[in-house]
Amino acid sequence: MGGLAYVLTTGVMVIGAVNGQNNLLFWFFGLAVAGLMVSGVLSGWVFIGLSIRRVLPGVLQAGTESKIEYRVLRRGLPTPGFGLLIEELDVEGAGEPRITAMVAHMPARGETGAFAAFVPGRRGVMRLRRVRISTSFPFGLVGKSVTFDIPEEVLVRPAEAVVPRRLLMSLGGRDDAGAQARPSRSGEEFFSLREFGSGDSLRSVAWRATARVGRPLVREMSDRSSRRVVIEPVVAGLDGAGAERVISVAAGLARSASRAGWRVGLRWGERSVRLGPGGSRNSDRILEALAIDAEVSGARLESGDDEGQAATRIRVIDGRGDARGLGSEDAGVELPSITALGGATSVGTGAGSVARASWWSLKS
Amino acid sequence: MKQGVTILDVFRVCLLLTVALALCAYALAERAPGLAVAMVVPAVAGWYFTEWRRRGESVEHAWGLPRLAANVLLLGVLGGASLRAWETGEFVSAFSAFLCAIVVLKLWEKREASDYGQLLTMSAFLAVGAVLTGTSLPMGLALVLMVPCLAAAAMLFQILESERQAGIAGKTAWRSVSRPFSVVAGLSLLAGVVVSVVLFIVVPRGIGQEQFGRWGGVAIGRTTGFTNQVDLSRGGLISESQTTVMDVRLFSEGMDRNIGGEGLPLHMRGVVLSTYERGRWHRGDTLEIQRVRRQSSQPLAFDTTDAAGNERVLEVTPRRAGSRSTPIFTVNRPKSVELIDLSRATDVLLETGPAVIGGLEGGWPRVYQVRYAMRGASRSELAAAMGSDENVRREISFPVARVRTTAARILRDAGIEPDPSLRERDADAGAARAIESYMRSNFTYTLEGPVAPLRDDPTDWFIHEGRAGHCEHFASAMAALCRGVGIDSRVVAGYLAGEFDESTGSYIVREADAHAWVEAEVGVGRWETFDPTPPSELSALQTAQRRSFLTRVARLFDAVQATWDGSIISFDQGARERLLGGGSGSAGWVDSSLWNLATSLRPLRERMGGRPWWWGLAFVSMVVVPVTLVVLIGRAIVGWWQTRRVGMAGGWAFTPQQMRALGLMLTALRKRGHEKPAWMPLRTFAEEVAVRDPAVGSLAIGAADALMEARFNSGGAATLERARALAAQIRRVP
Repeated sequence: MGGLAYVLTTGVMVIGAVNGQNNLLFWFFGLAVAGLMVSGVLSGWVFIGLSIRRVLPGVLQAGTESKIEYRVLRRGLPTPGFGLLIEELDVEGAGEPRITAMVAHMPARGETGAFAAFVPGRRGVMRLRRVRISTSFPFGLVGKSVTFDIPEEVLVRPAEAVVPRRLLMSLGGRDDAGAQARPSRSGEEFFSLREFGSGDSLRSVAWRATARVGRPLVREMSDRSSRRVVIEPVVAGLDGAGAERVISVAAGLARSASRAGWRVGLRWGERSVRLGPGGSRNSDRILEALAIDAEVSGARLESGDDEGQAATRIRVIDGRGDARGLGSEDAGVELPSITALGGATSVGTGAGSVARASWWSLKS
Repeated sequence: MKQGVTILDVFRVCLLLTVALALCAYALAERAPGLAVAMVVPAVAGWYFTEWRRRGESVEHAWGLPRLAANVLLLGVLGGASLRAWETGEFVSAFSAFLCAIVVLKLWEKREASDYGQLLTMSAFLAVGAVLTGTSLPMGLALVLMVPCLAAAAMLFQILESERQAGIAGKTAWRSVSRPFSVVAGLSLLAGVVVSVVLFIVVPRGIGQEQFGRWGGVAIGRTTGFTNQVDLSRGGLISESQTTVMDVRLFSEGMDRNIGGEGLPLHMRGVVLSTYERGRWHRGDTLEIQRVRRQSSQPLAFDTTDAAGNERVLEVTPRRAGSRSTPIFTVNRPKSVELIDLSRATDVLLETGPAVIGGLEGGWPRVYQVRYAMRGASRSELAAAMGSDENVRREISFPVARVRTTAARILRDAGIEPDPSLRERDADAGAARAIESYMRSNFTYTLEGPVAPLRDDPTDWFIHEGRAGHCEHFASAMAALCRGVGIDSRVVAGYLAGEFDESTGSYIVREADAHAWVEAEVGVGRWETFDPTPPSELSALQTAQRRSFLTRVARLFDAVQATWDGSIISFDQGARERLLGGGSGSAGWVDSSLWNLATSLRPLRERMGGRPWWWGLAFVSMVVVPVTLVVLIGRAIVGWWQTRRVGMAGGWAFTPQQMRALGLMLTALRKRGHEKPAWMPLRTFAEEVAVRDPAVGSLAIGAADALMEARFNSGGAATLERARALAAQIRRVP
């Protein structure tokens, strides 16, 4: 449109110059034509001998800023390019985020890189198909672009809700024998800090914490936990955003429990994960399983799902086989805002803050 | 952490320079330097508060006037500009002033990213407004400085737009692009200068002039030399060019004696302008022109009533050969003309009206000789020739009452009866001389032409308010005053030849010798020459001009000024042909073709004479229709080629996008060994492929179906996209 207006203005200018025999208008006409020619040449030549490669990150997670790198290679005419906009076209899945990057300067010959930062809005398989490189440099008169078919897929893990420690402790407050966890001097896991007392070994002093608070503190340890928990999200009857929230909390629970050294499993239809040892590897497996929708029968597991009553959305089965449901009172679980919205966005437009979820609580 | 210089920062500086220089250019075009200060200072202040102090902040959140306040002010400015245009009729000036106000306002306004583009566009339009308003050198310098700033700002703006779309607005460091950007911008500018200079030179001048009235012309500040009209409403400077136009020798009747000499200036009349329209003298539309083609040196007689005997012969050697047309310059009315040493056929144009002038068209002779009479016919001879009583006078007047009153007062002061019905015809010569004398003693001669306000008649304004001007003002005023007291008069434009070269015995006529004077009818058919320009001042100025020319060359500004005026502002067809080598070669062929086209269109234009906009429409149509035809034919050829390429029978009328998708699909299948016969329907072909090559069968059928849907069922872009995607998948199948 801008180019058309420019051409029309140039046409009017030349008619005015001819009609008025205005030499300065003739000069302006010459400059306008020169602008068109330079514009066509610069924006057209930049695509000659251009190729692009997409470098996907190993892990993508909904609600978390992710970056895709583009390596642009050029072996064309010796005219550099500027302001090349790189866009992913036909993105499928992951909330279909708008993925764009910019190459400020593309050397005449050589390779350069650009990063597209974005926040996937949803878990799942994100399918990338075509990459378009476009530019309207130098004058915005002619927009030129070239599209590359580079089909690739990447798995986006669900967003992880931040689960309060007290919620976690109340979920799995008993070990295999049903005993309450208690502090022990010979334990392997950190339990808490307390003030230094008589009889305490100097080796148990937490020197950094002591320096911070200004009075001597010692570490209390506990025996290695053998707690275990199976998490079962219940998404039946929920809309897309609601289901995402439930899965996000399940992912947060799995991550927190694994970090605490629990054995964590997932009941998620055919993508269920057996109980595995604590640590990031197991929780990664769980998150990857949660990334894909599974054939689950939510209704079978549902309890108290009557209309108007708080629904149980996550069933937690502890080590004794007791099942508990999580309901709808405020328990301080924090969800990534982008997950709460159920959409996706590019980074740099204000995303990244967290929103407090008020629908979530533990109901035992 | 301190942020380094970003592309946005550099753009902001370029933007400020562009805007400030555009405002300056317009103010200087209006010859109002104070206006430049009045506009640039608030513009810079606005830029400082809304841009520079807000560096590092998002553009959208920058501080500025709220939109509502800006819009209210905008409405006020629009009203003021409309009122000004209504009152003065200066639409370009009013619109440019409006643009100035918007630009300043926008620099104070709360801004969005798109506003930057608007500011740049308005600056460009402001520059065009300046070009339509004036031609002064300072304005030209401002424009010359503005163009690189505008180009750089436009380029940076495109990078910023990409930044914005990528969600990283204002983040890119200038350092990362500074060097290559400077190189590219510099080379682009150089290319732009070369292209513009080439176009400036090769575009023929004089063709299509004033087809749409005065639109596109310069409102003031024109530089004029000899022209075929006198236009006081446009003001301007008289050309000071010392370029030699012609050499002239004056001979006695028998050509046996050169009688020219220093101190015997010759008024060499070129055109006679007898129609007056609000400050503009022109030849009128009712001239009868006889065209005679001459291919050899034969005398050609003019139809005059001048007395026989006591004749003179003027031998003119034009220096500006190559122009398409020229008047036949002569002293008094010509009796005959002889073209000598013709290089090609030349048309001699003879005006058969009372002015008795001639012209040459098609080619110039090396020399032409004009024979004229020193004395006109006697009164009785003239009366007999014209078949009328010598005492009967035609009713002549001038449309402006104040001019008539002044003319009457001048005659009363000289003791001559101002009322033509009461005045003896013999007293007309005395009356004209009284007016000539009044002009010479009561007005000031200057080379700079003052400009009358648009609402005033320029001649009336010169006589009563301006009282200073150049020869065109003097001639116009005297002709108007003569008509005001019933004496028919006309303005003559030509050259005043006064520089005599003793060694060659010829007058050297330069562009700066262009002059205008008056012919008044002081008896029936008896026209006498009057020159109201004060001779002493004219002579002094012309002498000073010549003496100071060499000294001016030494001074830089004067040299630039002369170059600017001579090379740019007054570049015309003659200058162009001199530069390109006398109208030969391809440029000459193009010129000839355009001239022939213009000549062939002249009858059409004359038929539409009273309706210039109809003519304009026809003119534009003549451009638009061929271009449209070329585009349509081009599209048809491309369509045919694509049809051939994809092997599809005609009659489908695919859009180019659909054709490309089809091409993609059939090319992918061809690579797998499936060539589509031209006669076979696409769906049938896809089904056959499915049988022969199951790996791509479903894809081919899907692509064919999507194409059919896009073509026949208004499938839209998504369907077409699906077809393209399926075709791409066919290509990827191993």
